[in-house]
Amino acid sequence: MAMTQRKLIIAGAGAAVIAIGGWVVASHIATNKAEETLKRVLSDNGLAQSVQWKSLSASPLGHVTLKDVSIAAPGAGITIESVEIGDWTDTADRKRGDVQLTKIATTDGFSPLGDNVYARAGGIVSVPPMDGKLRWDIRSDDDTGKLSVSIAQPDGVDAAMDIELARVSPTVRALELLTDNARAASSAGNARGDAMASFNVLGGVFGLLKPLSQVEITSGKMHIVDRGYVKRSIALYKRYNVPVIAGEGDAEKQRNKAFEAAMERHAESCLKDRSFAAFADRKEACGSVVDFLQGDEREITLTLAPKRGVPLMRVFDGGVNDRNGNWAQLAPVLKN
Amino acid sequence: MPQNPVDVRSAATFLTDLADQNGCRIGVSVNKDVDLKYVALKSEGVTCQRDGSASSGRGMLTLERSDGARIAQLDGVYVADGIAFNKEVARAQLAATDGEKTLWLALKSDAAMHAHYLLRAQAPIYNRFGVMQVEPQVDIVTDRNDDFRRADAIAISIQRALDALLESTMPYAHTAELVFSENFTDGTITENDQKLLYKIYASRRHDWRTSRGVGEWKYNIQNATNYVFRREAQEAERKRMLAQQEAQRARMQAEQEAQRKRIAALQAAREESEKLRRYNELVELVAKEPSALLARLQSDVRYEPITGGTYARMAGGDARNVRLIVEITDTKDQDAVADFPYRLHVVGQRELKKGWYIVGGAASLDGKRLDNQDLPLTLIKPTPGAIHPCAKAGCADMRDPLTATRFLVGAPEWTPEQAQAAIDRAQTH
Repeated sequence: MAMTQRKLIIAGAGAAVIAIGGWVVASHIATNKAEETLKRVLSDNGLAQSVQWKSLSASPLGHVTLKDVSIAAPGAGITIESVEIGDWTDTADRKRGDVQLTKIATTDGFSPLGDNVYARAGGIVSVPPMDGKLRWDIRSDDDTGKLSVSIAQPDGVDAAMDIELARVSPTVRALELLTDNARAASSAGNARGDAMASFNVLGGVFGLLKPLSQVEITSGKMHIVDRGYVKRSIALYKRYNVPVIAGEGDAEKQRNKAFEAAMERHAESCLKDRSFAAFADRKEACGSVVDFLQGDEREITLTLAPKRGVPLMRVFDGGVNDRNGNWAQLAPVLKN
Repeated sequence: MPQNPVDVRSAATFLTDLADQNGCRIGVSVNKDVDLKYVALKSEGVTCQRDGSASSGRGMLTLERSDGARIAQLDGVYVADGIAFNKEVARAQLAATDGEKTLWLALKSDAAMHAHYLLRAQAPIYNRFGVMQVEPQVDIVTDRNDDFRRADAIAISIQRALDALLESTMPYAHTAELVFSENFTDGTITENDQKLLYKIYASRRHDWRTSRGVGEWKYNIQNATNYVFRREAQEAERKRMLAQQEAQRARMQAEQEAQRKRIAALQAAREESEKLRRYNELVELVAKEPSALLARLQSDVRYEPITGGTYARMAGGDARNVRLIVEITDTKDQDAVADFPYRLHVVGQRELKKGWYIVGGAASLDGKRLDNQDLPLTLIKPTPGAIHPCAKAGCADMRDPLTATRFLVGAPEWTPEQAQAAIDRAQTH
């Protein structure tokens, strides 16, 4: 488990480094000194030895590609076949970008999501490399933002989340302040400004809380496609949790019958489940979940289409039973 | 038995030959710290015999230093055949010595009695100057042990011994210690009472004027020590003690055995009681749900969605102990292949015939091979002796609580009646 955690942390750290690096590089595309700039940033942060790549190409249109990136750490490491940063805009009114990571793997060639109980619960240990994608488009002029995150894990699941937000400007400003302070803190070195800059970073993090609470969700979509994990989990569940009786016919038929009966019971209890109260078409929602969980459907999609923006901080107030009705305001719909 | 007198004399190193003023040789006892170069022996009343050895009636011996000082003087000494004694000894025919301090004079050997009669003489080893001391004690060596069981034979033996003393050597003795032994070396010399036969003190009137014994010998049988009977009594006592110990040991052993049997019976009763409990449980179970019994016979890994349960550990390379009802339908390489309850290989059991079995063993997953559901193939390495062929399809025979209990407790002949009998037996113990 420790190994798994380390891999995930490295993967997370790696992604952060890439994103920051991408930002820096993209910001300097105009000066055509992208690679030098990226190296300097990594060096400034003590990461020059840890993060390496085979080639870097940048186009003046705001497209950067790093090939064969490797992020080394004691006892583990991550390789990424390619990192593409594109659609880059960073103006006072608009911040837009797109980072795509292809074939993320540990040094032994498998996905960093593999070799842990969650992967094993899906009946496999060696999971192929995964892909990841991050997209953002934040407009200060009309105070909206779009955020897209997705992962594609072969033999596992593909998951994508798109979310549209309103009243994002205060948050964006707070973030800008935070990054300025962070940059100041890292470039100040041992100079006198060091302590003050660090203090400002800390203040900035707390300063994010208030503007974040104002952010509203105006629409959302979460899409999951099973690429083997759910199917195998269902087979395992049936194998070990659905009893079969020797001498009473084919084991699979016995299991399927019992499993279907159990799913029907689930579907019935789902209709009464308060956590599904927010769905206007509860029958459709329950049916979609049950169809997905019993393997009849490979996909499931949650969409949020509120009539007006719902503050982010209020969404989780009412717990899973949605006591405050905030979930209902999001007008969720579950479909296969 | 009596040995060559010359050999005996040379072995009796505690006797020192000194020449008196007449050059007559007398054997005496002289302490080693006396330097013989500077001493001279003087005798009175001693006559010299033709062979140069002295002989006398009552006489006196004086040991003088070369400067004329008297070291010791002994009165009332009798010399016979060149050896000085404390009592009147008529002749000194050497028969044996222990080489340390004791000399035996031959009195007589009597073939008819199977006996050698010897007179014991001892050197006064703590004196600077002395003569051989006779009590007198007669040591008799004989193999006629049984004579000492009968009073008449004892009386004869005593008389012969006293006769031997008087006739040959000490005609005037008035006391005599008679010690009969069956072995000279290990009885007479060592005084080992395992080899002694009889000991008695005899005496007769003592004439004070002549200092000689006269008249008939008297002795008291009641004060004698009969080693033959004593040994037998000791032996009998030893045997009695041994028998007692043996009986005690046998009693304890019997008690221990009984205790062991009691404990074994209790243990058996406990085990039988547990079997009976399981049996009754299965009977109840079958009454409620006939197929539940088969589930009770099996144990498989546990699976939980998302977190995996014990299955996740198995997927990580661990082996888990399982027991499953399986239907063997095929073989693959060296393995038997089962399709029920799911596709699995029973490792190394290629010879297993098609049919139903209960298989116990270590289950693991083959990460390289997938089964017919695209899941890692399950391999069961059976525990030796844990493959149980079922008599009926679907192991239907195991739906019977008795058959199932017999399988679970590993006793094919077990019955609840026998179990109850064992429990009852333990209670009556």
